[in-house]
Amino acid sequence: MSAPGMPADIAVDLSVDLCGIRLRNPVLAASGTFGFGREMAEVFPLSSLGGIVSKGITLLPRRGNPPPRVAETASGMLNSVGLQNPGIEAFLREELPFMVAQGCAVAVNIAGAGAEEYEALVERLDRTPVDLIEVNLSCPNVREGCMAFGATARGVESLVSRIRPRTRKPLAIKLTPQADSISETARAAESAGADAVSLVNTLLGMAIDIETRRPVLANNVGGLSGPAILPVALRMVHEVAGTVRIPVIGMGGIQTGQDAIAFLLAGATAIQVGTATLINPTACQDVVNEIASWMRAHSVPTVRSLIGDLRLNP
Amino acid sequence: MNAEGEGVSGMANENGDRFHTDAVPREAPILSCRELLPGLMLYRIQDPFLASCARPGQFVNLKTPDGFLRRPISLCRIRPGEGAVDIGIRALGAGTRALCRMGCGERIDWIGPLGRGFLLPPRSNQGTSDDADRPDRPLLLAVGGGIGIFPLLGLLEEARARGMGTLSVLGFRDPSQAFLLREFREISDRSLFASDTGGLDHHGNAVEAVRQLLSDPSVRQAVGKGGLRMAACGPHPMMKAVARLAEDLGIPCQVSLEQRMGCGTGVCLVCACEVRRKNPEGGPATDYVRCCREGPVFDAREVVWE
Repeated sequence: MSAPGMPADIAVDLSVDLCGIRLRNPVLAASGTFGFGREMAEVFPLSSLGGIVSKGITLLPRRGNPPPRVAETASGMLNSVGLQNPGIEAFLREELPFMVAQGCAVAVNIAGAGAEEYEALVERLDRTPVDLIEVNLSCPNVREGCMAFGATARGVESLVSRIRPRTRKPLAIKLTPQADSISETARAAESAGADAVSLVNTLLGMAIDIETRRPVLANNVGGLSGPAILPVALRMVHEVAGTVRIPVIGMGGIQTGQDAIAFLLAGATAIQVGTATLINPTACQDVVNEIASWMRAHSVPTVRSLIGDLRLNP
Repeated sequence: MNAEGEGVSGMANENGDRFHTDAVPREAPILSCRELLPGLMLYRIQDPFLASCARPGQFVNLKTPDGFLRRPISLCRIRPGEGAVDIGIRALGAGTRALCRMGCGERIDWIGPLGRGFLLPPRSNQGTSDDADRPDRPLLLAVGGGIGIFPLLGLLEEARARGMGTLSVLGFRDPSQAFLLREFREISDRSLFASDTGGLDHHGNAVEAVRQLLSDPSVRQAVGKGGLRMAACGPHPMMKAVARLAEDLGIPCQVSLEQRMGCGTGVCLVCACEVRRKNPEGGPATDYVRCCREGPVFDAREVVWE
């Protein structure tokens, strides 16, 4: 019995153009779930991905929050790592060369406590081989900065317009699902000169150990990720893709090629796989392969034809 | 595919020991299972690759039939000849309860070996397991409590295979909660089992039993000749007390720490353990390192105990 669709050996074109960056395929490894690629490069060749996004980088090294930093939840998890990272200088010296050598696009996720820190970070990254700067305005695990900017359209606009003149690198603004209106924050990013928007970051949540009557996380609260948030993320990607002209990078609970295709149909130009990597180290590569298989099975020759091809019910 | 663990502690790689890790998911069949206590299972699982390269103190990360994240489980016995390893699982939450319901023939989805295990001195040129009576062979004292005893069984086996003398002290809340005593007796030249409620060798906790064992004249004599090192795995207060005792006595000690884990592979940074590190600018400094990658076994002197 022969299956419908294209023969398995026919090449399908998975490449996409993300604000001027040609990606081999639309799959990026999400920030904070892939380190700097070293551990996963032992598992599969990172050249099979569209790109990798670094752990969030700050100007100075950060210790991060005390443990416990993780709590399992229904179909997801909470984390409160608190941006533990070696700081921009150690990152550029010790990690970026490795990332660049992997043969896929490299994005650096940056976070700051104030606008000056974001300015300094993008200036420092301007003359490096980084392909894309992902500006984290949505980390729920640090006291200062970050989500304070991302929560409102005014905050996003003022921050993005301050950093935009400082670099010619493409800027993707990573948005929080906890803004009053994510369409408004996305529009603010676009009008201030962003090249793309990434959404969604985690949702602030909580888990309580009823035996000790204490929160499970030492930080009391943390960011919820995993398939639990996929429907919310998908709706937001659809909403934002219909609002802005710049490309949308979609993420939130993607575990399979089918999940990824749903985000592409909703309007994402590229997608990120995050928490799935923690359970299945080959998740990013599996998602690439599953997208290709699905395209062959459905006689879809180019992944670009899927982007935004959602047919809404009347 | 395989990584060589880079040393972070003062004791790391002193004899060229390497820890291979592998994070590619594999399915492995359960060969046998044994209920040690209600809700405490010992499984033998077939995985020739894992059995060929894993070291005591390393762990595997198991998918659960019920639960989102994998569950890290330390290796108990490593049986390269049989292409299998033993792991012990206690039913604590929904995920481990579901794992404990698995039976023979079922397949476990796991990644491993992961992390850095225990370091042992190299097998001495003259030393073989045959000359167990040599008075100057180095000794290993393994101190365990509760389900922390599992990795120590494999460690004692390797120590004996390297020609070391083996001592073990195990602590349990109650004799009815004790398990694997026969196995520990067999692999140890001297063993001392402690129970908080009496009924075993020593009435009291494991740390008191360690003091008692170390005050024994024949043990002191052996320690004086061949040298002693300690390894501990168990409840946090026990390990903290063992670490303090070892430091007071000037005995090198390794501890296997536990922390809530995410990936087990080193990418998510949630399993932070606070350790003292060499500060390039001088002065003492502590840092969070990954239990899953730089640990779970650490030199006790570098651990910051709560």
